[in-house]
Amino acid sequence: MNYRWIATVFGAAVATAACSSNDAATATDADVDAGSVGDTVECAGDASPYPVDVYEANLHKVGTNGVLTFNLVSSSPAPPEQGEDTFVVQVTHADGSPFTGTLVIPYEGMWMPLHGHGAPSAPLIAFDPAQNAFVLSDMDFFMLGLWRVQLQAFEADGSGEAGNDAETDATTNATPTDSATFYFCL
Amino acid sequence: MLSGVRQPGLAGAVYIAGLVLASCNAAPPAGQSCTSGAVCPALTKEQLMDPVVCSGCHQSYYDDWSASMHAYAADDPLFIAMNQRGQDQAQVGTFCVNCHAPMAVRLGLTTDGTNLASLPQSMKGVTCYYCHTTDAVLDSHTFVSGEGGFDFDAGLGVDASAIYDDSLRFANDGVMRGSYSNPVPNVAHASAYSTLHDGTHLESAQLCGACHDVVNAHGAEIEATYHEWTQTLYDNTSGGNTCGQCHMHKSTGIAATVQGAPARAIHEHKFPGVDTPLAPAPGVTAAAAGAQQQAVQTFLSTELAMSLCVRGIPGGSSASLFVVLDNVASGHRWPSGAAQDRRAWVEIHASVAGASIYESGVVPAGTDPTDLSDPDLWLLRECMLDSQGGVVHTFWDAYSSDSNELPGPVTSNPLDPGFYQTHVMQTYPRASSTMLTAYPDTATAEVHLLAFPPDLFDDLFATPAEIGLTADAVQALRSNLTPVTIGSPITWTQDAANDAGGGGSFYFDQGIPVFCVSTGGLNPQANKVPAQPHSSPACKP
Repeated sequence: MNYRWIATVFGAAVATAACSSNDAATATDADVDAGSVGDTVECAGDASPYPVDVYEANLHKVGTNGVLTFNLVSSSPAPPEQGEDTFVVQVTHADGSPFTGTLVIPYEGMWMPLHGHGAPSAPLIAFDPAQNAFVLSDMDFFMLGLWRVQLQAFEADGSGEAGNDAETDATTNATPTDSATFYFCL
Repeated sequence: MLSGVRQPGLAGAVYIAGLVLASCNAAPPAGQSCTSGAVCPALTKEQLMDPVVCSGCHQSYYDDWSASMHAYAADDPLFIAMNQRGQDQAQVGTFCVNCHAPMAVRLGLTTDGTNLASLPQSMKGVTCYYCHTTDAVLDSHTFVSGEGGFDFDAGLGVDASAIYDDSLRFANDGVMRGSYSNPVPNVAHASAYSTLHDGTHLESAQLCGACHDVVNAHGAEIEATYHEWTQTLYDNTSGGNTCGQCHMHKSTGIAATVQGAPARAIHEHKFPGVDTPLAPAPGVTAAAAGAQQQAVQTFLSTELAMSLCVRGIPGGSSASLFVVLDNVASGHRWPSGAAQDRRAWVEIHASVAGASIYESGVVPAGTDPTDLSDPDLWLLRECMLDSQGGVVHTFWDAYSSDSNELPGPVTSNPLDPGFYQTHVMQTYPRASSTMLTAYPDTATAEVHLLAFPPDLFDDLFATPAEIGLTADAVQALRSNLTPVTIGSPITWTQDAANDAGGGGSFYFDQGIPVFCVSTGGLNPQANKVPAQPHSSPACKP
């Protein structure tokens, strides 16, 4: 048995448990009377702590580590809608050179923070040389509401698993080179 | 020619011909005007009452609806048989038909639903006109004389005000209400915005709740879906979801084939839930029926998150399994609806080198899970209980209910203990003194859901001729009582459990390793509550 691996995963599990409150939204008063006249359902609510993005083509973000830029070239449909959507994402270094590693969406990367659950299935991610971009397909936004999409990029030099055809499973033991998070209201 | 939908019949053909002549954009007939708020002259109220006429301008909505359970509500043999029994045993009057054929009740065409076969198809089911001319929901659990036509047997000594069953106010004014604040001007009918029809308004849930929340004459909740929703985080202005937002898929499209109709948010009218028609509805093609079944399957596949875990020393001589189910995406209990008819259960297998070492929840096709001799069976269902606490299958005899269904989510805050009440765990083998005889190399878990139990079906249809069916027809219906598998089965292997990116996880429980495979972002290590047996000793398993 690989005890080093178990220890690593055990540590990760503890960390995961500790991090499970990352998406803590304000506790809801779930026993309110339903349907008072004029009460509308707001996707994120007025006091939302989440930075909701307004979709536009080439919506780009600098990664949290400042190493990479994540450019959401397009969404199909646009803007994102309920259902299985496809994103095209270009990732570049700060100097504009193309990122050649792996892009993944972690296990809880597609998440509804105000509902406390994820998507029923993982999206598929493939690199399309013709677009010089990653194509994220079968993104199952199955419910209306606020969705978080977390992207993680791993360099192909050993800090992540190389290859551009991975599904969202390649990052068990690695720290991403950089990551970015998008929030969309559907 | 309509395709994949109800055939219009002669009356419908005449209506459609009239509609075509008028066209969706035609000017009003000479001498007549069509102003906002007025009943348009192009279609009469009688024409508007026929869903086939609606298809003239709203084809996709009609196609969706015609294969849905709303269209099928009065054609459903289960309704027909149960209603007949209710009339025979308890003179339930319009209690059932209020919601299964509300137009027929409101127009005085039936007093008990037993004559529906003689009525035009447009009077059956939950129709376009009925929903879209509703202009108010009357107080919950309030009987309004003359509105619903309730005539539930007063001889039962029941306070009629306790009965809650279809409390919609049927405006019947020819104004078609919907979710658009700026409906496209048309001469087919008057149009109006209604918050009851706008899924972004919480009160729209009341429209659904008028029928999907039924209390019988004894005060027992026969169907509590709306009430359940009010207990969840989805009944919330911040990030909530109404009935329509989940059960009416949203996309962008054209709502009506009217000149100038813009592309905007439209909503499917398939209303996927648990049920599907047992037999093809009148005029519905196999393709349309199949699309409806697929919509239900797809819808249900998103409802639950699941973990399958093996607890023990890998390679050791014993282990135990556990399954965690989390009702993540339904804004009510799971399953819900006519919960006393639902049967949801977990099927689980474990093996070593291809040889089975354990299984539970293996229900032979065509049988009722309640008949299974399986001490470990995890069966989610609701029992209706009579005044003595015995299990009953006839709603008019129910005084209470006993449910072990998965509760709806109440908070998204993991720091709130309520967050974990939907994380329900069942250990296999159930008896804590029992273990598997080996550490498995493979295990699988899947959840099945049967909308209606075969045992009750056999009881209802024991004498087919009484409801106008042949024995062969009954058998054909019964063969369609097939369970749906919820989502994808989980396959546990050591490799899958080691794949953190794919839902694998590991932790120690009291010093013993636990390896899990999960779906839907579920964290099996988090707090969870054990699956509870029914509180009533009569409700087993």
